[in-house]
Amino acid sequence: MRRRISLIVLVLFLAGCSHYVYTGTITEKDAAGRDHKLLLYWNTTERALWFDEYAGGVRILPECSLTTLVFEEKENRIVWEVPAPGAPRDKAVCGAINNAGRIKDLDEGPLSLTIYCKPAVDDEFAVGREFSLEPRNEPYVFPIGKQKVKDIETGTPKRPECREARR
Amino acid sequence: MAVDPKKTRKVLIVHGVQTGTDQDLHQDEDIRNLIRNRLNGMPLDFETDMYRYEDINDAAQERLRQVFGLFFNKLTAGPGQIVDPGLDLVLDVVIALNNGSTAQIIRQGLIDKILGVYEAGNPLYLVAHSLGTIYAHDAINQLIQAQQYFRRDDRKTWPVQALVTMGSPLGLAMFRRSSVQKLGSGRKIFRWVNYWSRTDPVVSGSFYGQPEQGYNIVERFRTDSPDSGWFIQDRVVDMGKAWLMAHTGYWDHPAIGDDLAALVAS
Repeated sequence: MRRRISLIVLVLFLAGCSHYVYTGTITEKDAAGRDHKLLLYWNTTERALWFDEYAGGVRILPECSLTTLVFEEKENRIVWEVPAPGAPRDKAVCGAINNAGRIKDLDEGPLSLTIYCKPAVDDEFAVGREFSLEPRNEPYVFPIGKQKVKDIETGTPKRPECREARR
Repeated sequence: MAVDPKKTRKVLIVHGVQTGTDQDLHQDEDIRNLIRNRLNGMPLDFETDMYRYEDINDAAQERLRQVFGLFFNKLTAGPGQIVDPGLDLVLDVVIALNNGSTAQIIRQGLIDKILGVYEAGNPLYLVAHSLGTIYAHDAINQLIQAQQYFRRDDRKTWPVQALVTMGSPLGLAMFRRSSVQKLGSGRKIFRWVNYWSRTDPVVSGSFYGQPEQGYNIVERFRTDSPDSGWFIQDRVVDMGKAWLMAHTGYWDHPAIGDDLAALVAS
């Protein structure tokens, strides 16, 4: 019994952790020439031992739109997959982060990502303005900062407030 | 009846293993607050609701508990208070695994709830957690199989517009699920996003979680057939927690809130 309790206490101790949020913001124009701030973020939890593997995707949240671009790890790349009718498994990769193949290997500093395509939008059901980064050869570069936070729920920033709503 | 995209979006929550009764369940409020919080002032006309079936489970459990009754009634109050909620959870899983009359009642109740929203014309998005993901998966596939709904190129005939699962044990062999019904030929795509945490023991079936990359949970449910019509994606989330706290941490995870806002708006 004493060994079992000791093991539980040891595991709980080793599971102690620190939470970090990485963020970066750029401004891009949409097709109508309007500026949109774009917030990019991801979070990590560092543990003394046990899981040093990262878990969690990179997200881009545009201003004045409910679109969310989600970059996930797939086969040693960090990619943005979108529904694509007619493509294999109805999926296409429309973007990729260039710095690394694993999110745990991303860090502060310039984060470069390339956009190859845009997802199809179902206009009949879409609410509000769709916004996506325009496909182009030149990568988008987000300046990333790292911040230690008390917890992920309160420490993760929200999408930029829509400045048009304030006018 | 057809879905009207201009009507209020409905987000229907399907809970997982629970102790207590239906009255104790308020995860619909959790999701409503999560989405509202992450909208940061952006307008989105939506409401949340919940499909509660814990009372159905509890009624079915009475019969099963009688089998154990002689043993557990002899426990003192202390251990009995710990064991009884644990037994509640275990028996919820047994009922789902057994796929007997109670599981069918739960599944049909969910289908009836979904069709009630469909008949009212509201676009519906299903968000299920833990054991509830089994019932949600089954309900949608049963509706597709019925063939009177889900005409692939007309989302107004879809009783459910998208499925979100969290902390799902669908990847475990014990639940014997490995596929989805085809929607047929066409261009519209049904989206299913499955959130999982590496430290969630319900997902991996492992007490220590599943640290390896490339863990494929429900993406494998989709075949290469062009007639499938499903976009299925496993998305790992960093919960910042471990074990059962990780299993219950999905309800207020900001990334899930951001994704839900985007999904319900599309």
